Amino acid sequence: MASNKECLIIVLDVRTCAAEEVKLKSAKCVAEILKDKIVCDRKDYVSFVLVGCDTDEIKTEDASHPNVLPFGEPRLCSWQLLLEFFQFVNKTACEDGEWLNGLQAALELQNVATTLRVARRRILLLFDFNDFPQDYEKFNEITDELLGENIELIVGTHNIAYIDNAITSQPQAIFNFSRKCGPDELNNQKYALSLVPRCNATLCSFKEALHTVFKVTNRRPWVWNAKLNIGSKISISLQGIIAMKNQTPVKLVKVWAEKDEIVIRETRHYIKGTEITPLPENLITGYMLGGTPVPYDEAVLEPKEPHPPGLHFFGFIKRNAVPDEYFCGESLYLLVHQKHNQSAAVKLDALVRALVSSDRAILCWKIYSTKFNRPQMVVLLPRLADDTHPATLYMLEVSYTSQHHFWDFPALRTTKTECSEEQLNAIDQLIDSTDLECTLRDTQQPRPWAQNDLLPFDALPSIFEQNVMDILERKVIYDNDKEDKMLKDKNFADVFWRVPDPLEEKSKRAAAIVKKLFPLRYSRAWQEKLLAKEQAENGVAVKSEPAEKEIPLPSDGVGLIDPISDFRRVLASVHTISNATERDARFQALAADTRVVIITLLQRRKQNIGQLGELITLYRQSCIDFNTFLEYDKFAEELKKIALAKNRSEFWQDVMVDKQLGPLVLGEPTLDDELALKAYYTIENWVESGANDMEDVEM
Amino acid sequence: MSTWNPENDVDLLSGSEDEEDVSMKRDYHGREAILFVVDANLQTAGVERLLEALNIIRTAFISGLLVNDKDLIGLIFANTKHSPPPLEASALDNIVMPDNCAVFLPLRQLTKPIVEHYLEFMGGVETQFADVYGLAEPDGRGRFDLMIRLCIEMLEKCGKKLNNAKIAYVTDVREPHPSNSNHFQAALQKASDLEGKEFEFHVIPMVDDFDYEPFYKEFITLSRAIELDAFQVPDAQMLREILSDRKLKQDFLRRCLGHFSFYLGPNLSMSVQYYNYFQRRAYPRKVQILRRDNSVVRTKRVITVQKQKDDGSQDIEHEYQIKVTGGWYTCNVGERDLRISMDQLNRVRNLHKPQMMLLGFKHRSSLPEVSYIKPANFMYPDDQSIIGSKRLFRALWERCLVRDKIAICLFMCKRKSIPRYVALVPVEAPDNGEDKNYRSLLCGDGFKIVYLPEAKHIRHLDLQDWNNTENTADEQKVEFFQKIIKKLRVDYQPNLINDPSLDALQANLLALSLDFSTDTKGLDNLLDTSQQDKRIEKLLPDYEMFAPEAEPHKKRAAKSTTAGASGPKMAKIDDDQLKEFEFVKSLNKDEALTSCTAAQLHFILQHHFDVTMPKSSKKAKLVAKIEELHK
Repeated sequence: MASNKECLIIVLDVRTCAAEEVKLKSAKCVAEILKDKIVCDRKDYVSFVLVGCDTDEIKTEDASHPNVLPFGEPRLCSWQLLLEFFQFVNKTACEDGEWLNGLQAALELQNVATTLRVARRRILLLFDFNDFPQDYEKFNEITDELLGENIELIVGTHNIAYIDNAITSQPQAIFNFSRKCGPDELNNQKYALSLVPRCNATLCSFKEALHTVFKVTNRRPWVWNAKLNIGSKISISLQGIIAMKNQTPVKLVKVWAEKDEIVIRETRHYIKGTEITPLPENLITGYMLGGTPVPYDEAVLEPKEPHPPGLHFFGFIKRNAVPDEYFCGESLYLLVHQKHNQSAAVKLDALVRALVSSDRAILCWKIYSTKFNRPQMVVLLPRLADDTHPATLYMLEVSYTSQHHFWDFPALRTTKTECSEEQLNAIDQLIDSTDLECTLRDTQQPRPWAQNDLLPFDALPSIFEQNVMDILERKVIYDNDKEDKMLKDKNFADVFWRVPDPLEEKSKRAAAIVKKLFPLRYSRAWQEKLLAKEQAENGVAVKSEPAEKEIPLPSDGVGLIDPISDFRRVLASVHTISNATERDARFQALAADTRVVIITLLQRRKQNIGQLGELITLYRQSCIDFNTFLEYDKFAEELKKIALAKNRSEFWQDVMVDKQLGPLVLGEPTLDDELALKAYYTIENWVESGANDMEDVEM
Repeated sequence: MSTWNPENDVDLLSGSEDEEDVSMKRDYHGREAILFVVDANLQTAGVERLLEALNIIRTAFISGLLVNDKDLIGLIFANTKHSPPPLEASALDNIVMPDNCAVFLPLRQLTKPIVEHYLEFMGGVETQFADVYGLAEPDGRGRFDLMIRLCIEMLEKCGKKLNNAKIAYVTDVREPHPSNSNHFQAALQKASDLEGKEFEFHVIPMVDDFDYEPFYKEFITLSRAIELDAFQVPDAQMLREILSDRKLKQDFLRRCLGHFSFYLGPNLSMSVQYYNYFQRRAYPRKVQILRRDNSVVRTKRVITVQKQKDDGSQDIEHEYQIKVTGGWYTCNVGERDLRISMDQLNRVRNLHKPQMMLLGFKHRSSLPEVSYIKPANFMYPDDQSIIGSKRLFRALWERCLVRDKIAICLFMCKRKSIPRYVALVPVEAPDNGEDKNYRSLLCGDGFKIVYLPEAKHIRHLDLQDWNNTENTADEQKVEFFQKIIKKLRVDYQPNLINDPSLDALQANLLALSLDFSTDTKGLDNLLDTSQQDKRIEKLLPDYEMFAPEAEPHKKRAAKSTTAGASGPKMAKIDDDQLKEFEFVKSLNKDEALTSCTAAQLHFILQHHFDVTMPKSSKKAKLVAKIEELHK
């Protein structure tokens, strides 16, 4: 739903003498306003003015507004603006500052906005009218200017209460009475209250100020022009306006690819899984009749002229004839006479008054336009004219019989569900203790909220939009991409899942009483059913296991150049295999490769003793991890034979004996184990060094 | 599919969720089945009653052909003398055929040949039904329990996974067996079998004063596992009407949209389910067909991301397909583009588990008279997860009814949906003796869930441009419309009003495929006003008291922005600015004098040049004069 553009100047109180609560709530209000305009992509201009800044250091500042610091020319809202506001609001503060000077600075910014051609100009003043003196010499002059320039002023502050006006019965804001009120505070409050009659300002609490800022009135909405035809003679020119629509104003830009990539969208065609490329003229639209496809060639059928657009009368029905349950469609339309059409206005007024007096509604066929020419049954409900609006008709779409469900619910009143008097009284107590309408009988008593209602129907928040805004704000401010951190901020949503504060304690107590009187217990069969369902879902995960086999393992085995890092890399990938059987098989292959490499390196003329030692150590440790003791023991015996055959006494002493890389022993070594190991490590008959030289010559 | 707009991709930000989509998705892996059972005793009251029943089934067959084409439909004749095999006799190979039953159509997805076969059979019913099927001897009573067993076997062995199975028994006999016989008890035993297998049983009486007390009240309550005193007697004629559209009273336990816990307090909750009153418009399924052989062509949307090499050649560095839910959202912060992935945005929707929480109560009158944001739902208790919920629900519902209260709750119907504020309005089933109108078909006892609009869903319209004291009509004009209302009153009969677009489409499809035509005059006469004109003929002379409507002057269409012909408009010129000669000089220099009004131009001439032009001078002449004086 489009809204007209506006220019909003926000004046904030940052004086050191202002209550900390006012400052925090003011900044929060501004953040909420900016977030809303950013996420919903509103083309509104916003700027800020700080009252209470230390402007002595800023020599360029105009002396006519001491301690008042404007932000700059009004700008469109963006996340960058939000970040700049957070820096701006933390300017050095001082004790002095006049809110009338702030208003004057805001007025100057609004004059700049005149060239922006905005439909609405508003000033939001968030100030603490506390016990510090203010200068009111130019009060009348400034309020006259606000009234003359048609600028709407919203004043938000704390310490606000509401009573109903004795004459108009409308909520009216007043200041809370306190004995600690000083004379300066009373004077400040008096002038704040005077803003309401002088320039039609809205005085409210912070919460209501936020609500007032968001409530924008539309004077030139988009309209749908139509004529209501009764018979062929009676005709009334109407205009339809959308009054309610279930549509979120959140707008985010969707991106499919990186900046240097191209997005291609195409449609492909298949017949029973086989892709074909038919020419467009070879395809025809059809419908399925049961299992039989039927081509639907429009050329064969008689062409029909489109229906004339408009509202075509069907009949007058009783007002409640159409059950509310059968309303469908996407929005609620308000039908009003054509603007500046006096004759249509008179006809509609007469029709609406006649409908109301006879308790009737109108059933019509609605044809939206020549392009959207499908008839839709609608019901028109009358609404009488009053001071704020002319006679109107609400228009709602009605569903057809073929769409209706027919339920067969058993009656609730059965002997099994009979309740005792005590149980019913507990329910009554629950209803009374959670009454959302004003519990105060006297509407003249001050109350903290505006309406006599804790959840007014025209002020319900949008939880989804609020959550989107909060998460985007957090992302913008902290610029963190870690997703687990967001999970810990579940209180985003929990704020909404609670009973309004004034009722919370009473509601809990009443619920506890109800709980005692009504026997409730969890169904064991249901729990088991849920458990089985979860296990079935886990079973699906088991089937996805074969997909892991398709993950390509590193094609390189253990090479001769850098066998240690090769071994480590392949071993790490083997560890990631979740299937135990496959993991063991892969390890066996790795072990075989490793043994070949070790033997090859050992038989070389020049050995790298350190490399060999490290590699054998790694291999030995992995055999312990994979429980392959026998293979390593065999390998150790083979190493001994090769060392003897090749006369590798240095390798044997420095690697095998010193590093104790002999056969594996489980647990604490016994005496027999120690004797066996000693026998393994002892070699007495090394060949003479001369023979060593001779072998080298032979190779 | 051919009208797919690539720009309208799936958007997670859309707040309008269609529960029917979710419901359809849940039913994706199963099918619906309706097994019609026609009692051969209908012919004893004359062949007209049997034909009436068969006509209802004929309409159901055609409806099954046109809508929800995957449904299975079968037809059995019960209490027959003979048992001729169906056309597809091999379908009964694994089924034990009892005496006095005949299968006309095993459970099958309807096709054109099947419907043609049934229509051909109907053509010969008057002359051949008695000979081919006959009536069970000696008293027209076959074994009811064996018939139910046959139905169960056919449903179980139909070869498809069933998600919703119904048996519709069309009869006029209120008691299949004497209450003191063994067959009576055996029949009641079959009701427990139906309940265990989750098959629904519906009896469709062919007489209006059908009596449920002797047998069917107990049978139906047993098959649905509800208490005997909770049974509500349906209207027989209404049952026949909705059956012809393959609609039956839905079993509330198995057709709910969702199941959740309703919290009245931090540690106090009950288990409830919610339902929809109507489904989305049901049209025949649209497909693409190959002209050559009438093969069904399936289309698939593909989104491909390509990256070309930087050297300017057409070689592709890499290419990959992404899902419709791929990509990400972006928002701009200065020079940086922050990326919000779909997973992160989905986390917003996953911040809470589905449930309903009580916030408070209000009086019924506080609900606005006209407030619509979303179709309403219905809430009903069950004892599935929390035993004892029905009693607590009944107590809350009864006290809300008596005290005229509504409950305001926060409702999240399923995970990843959007929490919404709802009002629970207690509704009550009409008494048995009450007038049987359309409203009584809505539902029984429970709460209606009315979705409340959020603050931003409500548009605040300033209608002062429309408002005028002269809009008020005098009493004479009001009386005129009161007379018109009396002349054109109608009773709202929703079952007589069909979707005209759907009617036209179905008529065309039947003409194309089955070669018979239905009455399509309704659509042609949709906007016919002759009847209305005739009724108000005598009142029309009084219509002259209303002034004829003058068409307001239409604004010129805005210039096309692509043409770029019009530049940005200047701000409005104030009278104070005109007092400065330098400002007037700049206007003349920029050739912007035409932006001033005629009165302003007169002011310029008088104030700066002491020249007075005649008041009737045109604007162009005034501009020319000022330009001349500047030289």
